[in-house]
Amino acid sequence: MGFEKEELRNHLDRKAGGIRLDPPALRDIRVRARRRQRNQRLGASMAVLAVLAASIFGARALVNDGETPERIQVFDDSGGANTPPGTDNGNDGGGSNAPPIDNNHTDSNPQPAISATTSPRNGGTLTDTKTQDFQPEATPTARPTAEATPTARPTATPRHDDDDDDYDYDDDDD
Amino acid sequence: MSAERPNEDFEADEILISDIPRAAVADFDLFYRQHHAGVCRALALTLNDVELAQDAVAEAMTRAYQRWNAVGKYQNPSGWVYRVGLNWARSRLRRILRKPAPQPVHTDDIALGVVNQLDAALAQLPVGQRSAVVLRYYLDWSERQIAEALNIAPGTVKSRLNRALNRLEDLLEESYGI
Repeated sequence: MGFEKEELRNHLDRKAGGIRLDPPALRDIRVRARRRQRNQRLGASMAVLAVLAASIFGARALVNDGETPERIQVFDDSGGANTPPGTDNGNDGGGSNAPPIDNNHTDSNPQPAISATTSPRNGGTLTDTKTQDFQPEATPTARPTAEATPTARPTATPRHDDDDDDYDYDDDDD
Repeated sequence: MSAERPNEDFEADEILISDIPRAAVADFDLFYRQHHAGVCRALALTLNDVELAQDAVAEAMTRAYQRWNAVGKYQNPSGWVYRVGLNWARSRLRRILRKPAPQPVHTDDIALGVVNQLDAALAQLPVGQRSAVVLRYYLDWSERQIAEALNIAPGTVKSRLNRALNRLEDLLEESYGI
């Protein structure tokens, strides 16, 4: 080896010996540590308060949201022949006593080449087969209101979500 | 009066630290007095930056004090302080994107050429290797102590030391034109 370990040791000793240190007083270390602990505790308390506040105000905002109840719709598919008229909320099982459902689908919500066959599931007699060609020019202008929404959904039909804006009308360019 | 303010701060600080158990304070005080300078110099040699090393040791000592119940029971608490200080310094260096500038060498009665060449060679080692060299040849720690301090395997310490010494030898040979 070109140099001895002892040489390295001496070099480090000498170099370290020449370093002038200005160590902080021990008391400063203590004070700094205690301040930090206190701030950490304070920070933890503030974080807990923030979480609590967020959860409280978040819950209140949810309750006050006017749209929230409408979003919750229960589609009861069990309705059959005894479904009382006028009480069908999304009831897909229109039977002989089914409410007067607007099955003409004359709403302004066209769907691409859908063969919508509405058939009763539970022994009902309603059969409404309708084919509606997709007309790209017929841009949906107004969404049906909650009252006018046809509650009988076609079975085995590609789901056309309520969010029409997201629907991809590829034929627009034609 | 301007003299009142420091006194108020002093009293507030006294209240702040008044609830620390005396035994713990005495224990830490002893550790601090015995090991602060050594760890600080070792870090200064490793980092080639005295000021940064002092800040790093102050930070590491503060953390040690906060956790003294646990750190005080380690076999080599100064190893813990060294590692925490080194990590703190390196992350700070990364943050401010600056490299440690070599310190002026104290050359008193040492052959100028040898010291400078050795210094320059040491500065070219990676920090991991330089740490191992400083802890082994300045603090005289065993390989096991170094492994604990740096939180690496003893075999890694051995290989780092070997590589560091070989590299130093190569660098010195290059500089001397041997």
